[in-house]
Amino acid sequence: MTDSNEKIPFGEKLGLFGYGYKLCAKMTPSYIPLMIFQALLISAQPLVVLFFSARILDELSGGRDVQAIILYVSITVGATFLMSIIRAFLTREVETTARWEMLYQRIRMMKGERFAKMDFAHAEDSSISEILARMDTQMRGNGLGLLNVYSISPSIAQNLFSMIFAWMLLQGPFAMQIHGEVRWPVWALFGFFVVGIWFILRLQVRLQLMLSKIYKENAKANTAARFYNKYVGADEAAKDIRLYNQRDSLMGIFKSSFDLSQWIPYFYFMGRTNGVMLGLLAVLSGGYYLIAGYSALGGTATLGGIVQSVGAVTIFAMSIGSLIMSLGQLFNNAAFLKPMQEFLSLPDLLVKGNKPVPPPQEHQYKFEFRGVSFRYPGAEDYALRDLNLVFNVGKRLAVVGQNGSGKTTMIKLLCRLYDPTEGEILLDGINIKEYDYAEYTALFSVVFQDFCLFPFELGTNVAVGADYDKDRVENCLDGAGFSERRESMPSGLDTILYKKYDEDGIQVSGGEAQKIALARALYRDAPFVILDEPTAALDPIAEYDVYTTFDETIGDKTAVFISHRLSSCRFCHDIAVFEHGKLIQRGEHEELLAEEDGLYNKLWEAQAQHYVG
Amino acid sequence: MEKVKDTPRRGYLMTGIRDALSLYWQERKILLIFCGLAVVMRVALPYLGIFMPKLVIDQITAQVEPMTFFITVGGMALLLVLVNYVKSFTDSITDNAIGTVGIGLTFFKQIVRWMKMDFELMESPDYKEVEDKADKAAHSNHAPAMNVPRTLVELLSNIFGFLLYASVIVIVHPLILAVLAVTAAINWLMLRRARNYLRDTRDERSKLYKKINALGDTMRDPEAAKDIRLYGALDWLCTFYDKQFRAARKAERKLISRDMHSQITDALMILLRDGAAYAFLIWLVLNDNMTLGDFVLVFAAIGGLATWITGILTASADLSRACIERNDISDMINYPDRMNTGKGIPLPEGKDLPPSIELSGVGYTYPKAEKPTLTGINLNIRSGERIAIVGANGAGKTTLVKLICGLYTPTEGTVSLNGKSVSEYNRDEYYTLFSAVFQDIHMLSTTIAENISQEPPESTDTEAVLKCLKLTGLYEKVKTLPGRENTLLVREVEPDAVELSGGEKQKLAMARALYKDAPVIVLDEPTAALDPIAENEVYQKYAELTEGKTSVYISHRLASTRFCDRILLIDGNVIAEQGSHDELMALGGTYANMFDVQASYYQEDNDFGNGNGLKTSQAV
Repeated sequence: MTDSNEKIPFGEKLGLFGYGYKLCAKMTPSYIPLMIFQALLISAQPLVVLFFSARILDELSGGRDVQAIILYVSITVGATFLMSIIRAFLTREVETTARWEMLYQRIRMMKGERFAKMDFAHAEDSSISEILARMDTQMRGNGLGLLNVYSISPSIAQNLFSMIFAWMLLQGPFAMQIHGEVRWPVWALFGFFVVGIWFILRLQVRLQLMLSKIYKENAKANTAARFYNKYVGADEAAKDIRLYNQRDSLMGIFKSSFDLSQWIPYFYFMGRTNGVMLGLLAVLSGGYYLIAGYSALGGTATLGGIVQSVGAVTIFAMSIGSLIMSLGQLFNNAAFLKPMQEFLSLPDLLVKGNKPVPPPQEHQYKFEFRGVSFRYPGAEDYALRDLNLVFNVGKRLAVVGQNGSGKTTMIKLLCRLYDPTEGEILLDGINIKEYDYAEYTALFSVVFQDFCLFPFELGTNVAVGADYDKDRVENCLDGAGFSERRESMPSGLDTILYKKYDEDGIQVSGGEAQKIALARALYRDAPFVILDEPTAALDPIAEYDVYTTFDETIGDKTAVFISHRLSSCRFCHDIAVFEHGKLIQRGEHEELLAEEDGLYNKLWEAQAQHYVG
Repeated sequence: MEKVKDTPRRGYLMTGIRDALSLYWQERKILLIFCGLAVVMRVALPYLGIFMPKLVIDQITAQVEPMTFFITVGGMALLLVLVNYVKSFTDSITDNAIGTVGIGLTFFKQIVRWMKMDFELMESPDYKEVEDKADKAAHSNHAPAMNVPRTLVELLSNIFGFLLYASVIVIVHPLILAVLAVTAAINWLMLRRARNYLRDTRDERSKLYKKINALGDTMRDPEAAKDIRLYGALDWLCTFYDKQFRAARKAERKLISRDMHSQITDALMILLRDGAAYAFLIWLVLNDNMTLGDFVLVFAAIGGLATWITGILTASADLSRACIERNDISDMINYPDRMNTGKGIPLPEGKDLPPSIELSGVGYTYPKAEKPTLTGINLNIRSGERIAIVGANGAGKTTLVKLICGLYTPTEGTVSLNGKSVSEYNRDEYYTLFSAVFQDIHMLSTTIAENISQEPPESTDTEAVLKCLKLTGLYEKVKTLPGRENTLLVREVEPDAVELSGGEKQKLAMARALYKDAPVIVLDEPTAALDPIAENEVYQKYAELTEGKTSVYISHRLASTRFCDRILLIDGNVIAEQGSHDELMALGGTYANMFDVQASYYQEDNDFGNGNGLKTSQAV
């Protein structure tokens, strides 16, 4: 959505700039005051030393008052010591809140929480995932975005203070007389410096352009390289690379993502730009030596004055240079805050009512789809068209149909992952939008085809929480046909699934994962159970076991089975057949089979012919 | 882990430095030359910086002629301008270019190794450990192993800088050096304490961060989004996260406290050092006629010397670590293959195709597994035979297929093709004999046609591509796409790409296998994601698809086995039953039982589904 090269108007940049600090103050309230205090100390220290060592030098070359010398020396070393100690303590506080690792995690968490809270439609929107991925790359690779606000702010504060303090030693209250009547060389020198800074800024702009050109030209190659970087791993496409001999073409992609003949000139140019900057500073301090030295020869300046003013002018010029660059960076960074702002301020579209849902104990729920049509955001075609369907709790409903016929979409609408584009879904005659969202979703135990287990302990996965009833979790796992495997788990319910969270985690196969997901649905004990292709990864015996045990375990609850295996229909007296987003047949197995031109008959025969006769 | 770290192998410094330097030497020699120049500049600039005030003060105290002053000081100032310029330039090379170039070149080497490695090794825990270490060593352009030349520059410039400054100080009094050495050593000890703590806690912290990352990833995983919402998992995840984050914060703070201790020691040492230096030097000025120029120079040299000493110690520790990690990378790049990657015997051709495959006493035990997955498999697949493999989840069907394809080497027995052991063939040539479809399907970010041909457009036979698309039934979908067979795939890389559904991907993979037209076809559950009608089409065409090939087909859907000449049932690590469908049904064993279970759903007269669901159900 937001390209970092895209032109953002100045006003908006300024707004984003402020937005960055607002986030910063919200995420780490103590950071800004601590950082400013730290910057004050860091910038004051060298100038205090400079001032008093100049006094020592003057005393040594002039009056040689031992008392005064002792005083100045004590102040120099004492102040340095004191400031260093305070700084050390401050640094610890600043680092604890704003160390890279800590910030990185805080920012990730902020994004993760937002992602988990936002409308499901956004979560499934690939452009949102792309924004997130881009923010991550910018943050991880180049420390851009919010991280940049943290990394540049100290340098801005320090340079600003340094500039002020240096000015005080140069022209202000603590300045020393270093020139006689002739002042033009000083002005000439400053004039030269200003022109130099302007020149350097132009070089910097060119340098930035070079970099963004490299990134732009390689953006595609980099995306591809990132993709294929995973691709070459053992658990990805290593088999394909070998069996289909993909090495050479992949190597070509990798080579084009990192082109030395683009990077080397960039580094040379960077070196020259930095060289001009430091050279300019050397010109300034050299010029000051000449001016101050000449005055000293004439007796209008002291040795301490020379040391102080040359030191101060160097610090002054350096901090101006760095300040300009830091401000420039911070300003460039504003563009990278835009995706963050967009992401954090995505609007919620789902209507969330507050009607209480009647408790399940004494209640028979009745769901009704009334003229429901649905189109996925951004899609042209309807995924569901004019669906009318009524069902009561306590039944088994089978939903069948070919790939893409709208079966899963119907479930997503029922569970309020999406709201219908047209029509309404009613629970006991009331639109489901009007119910309290959490209470409403608590009515369902769903196992989606692409269910996802969490890479944590087995027990917490089943219970979806850390405090759980151990016996019930075990019963549910057994009910889902997982008992044998559960007993062989190294740490029982505390065994961690997958290796993502912990190296000692165990890998579970697709079939095993499916059983755990089934157990999770059982543990939830919701009045309404929905299984979307629950046995695709299971072998025939396991499939049979799942159907029979599951059917028993859920007892009086309502169940909806979605399956390619029409065998599941044998558990249901009520079958709905979908095609191209429409409900085209509804009834009992025998009835539907009797409609010889019907899709159900066709689907059934396609499978049954191999088993019968 | 700890022990390994403490005793790096012999000669690790030499090999590390050699490996790193040769990387740059092969690609861009000039970068190393700039590094050499950087050493000179890094010593020259600080020295000229402290020498300049002395020069100015000396000239002024001597009350030289203004012209002399302008020439000497002006000349010196010009020299400083030049040195500043050159140093900035070489610093950009050592501090920026070296790391970026290093990681790019290392990455290429790693990728090449990955792609050429025995598949089996990639899955082995022994290799994984080596790879993990290498990955850690090459994690960013700032990683020590990517910056060996830079660290060398630092070490050398600190040594030369030390020698230069020491020679200035020693003239005044040799004892000063001894005092400075002591304060620097104390400093170093504190610094090392902090660094060692950082090193010793690295594994622990990276484990913590791994956990936090896994939590963060889960929260924002679009695939987990449904489950998080419908199971109300967010609160739990957040509490969990807070707990982990606090633990990480505590660990970091401990680390930062060590840094703080080191900073406080440093401040204390500076207090002592500068206090003593001032006292001694001022005494010399007042009583021993030390010139003010020398006072300024020596005082600055004393401050600078401490930096050089710390620099030497830090840089040598850095270099040592960088070399250890560079060796970790070399270990991965040089990890030996076990299969035959040299010259192999010629592949069968002409009348020797399709080949026969023989397994005699073949067994396979996964690395670190206690029990074999397969054992004592004797199997003779005749030329052109259609084999079906069935069995429960985890029985070892896919393992058997991987052994046949030469992705795994048997841990017992031998696999032979046309009577010759697989190990006699060149590994990569052997792969050309197989058209395989595995359960996990991966696509390249190119067009559909190229995904099928695995060739660039100019050498892709479009006719053949279309034929394969039609055979697998994907053509119906392809013809509705705006770019037809030239439509791009993989949205992650190509924004205009189409997303294929699971079933369509399976069809694509099958088309790719057909296009390859290899003499052996291997299909591992190719219809799991297909709807009944599409699945049936595959069965119907199976004979046509495998005409004139030797084929192996794995499926849970027992119906599919009817199209094969022979069915193998894998159970209890062995081939438990084999024969035609009718033979196995007559045998009445596990296969017959499995088939009956599946078939029972489809038999009209079966009294099915007496569960509660049926009892309570009623027509709506």
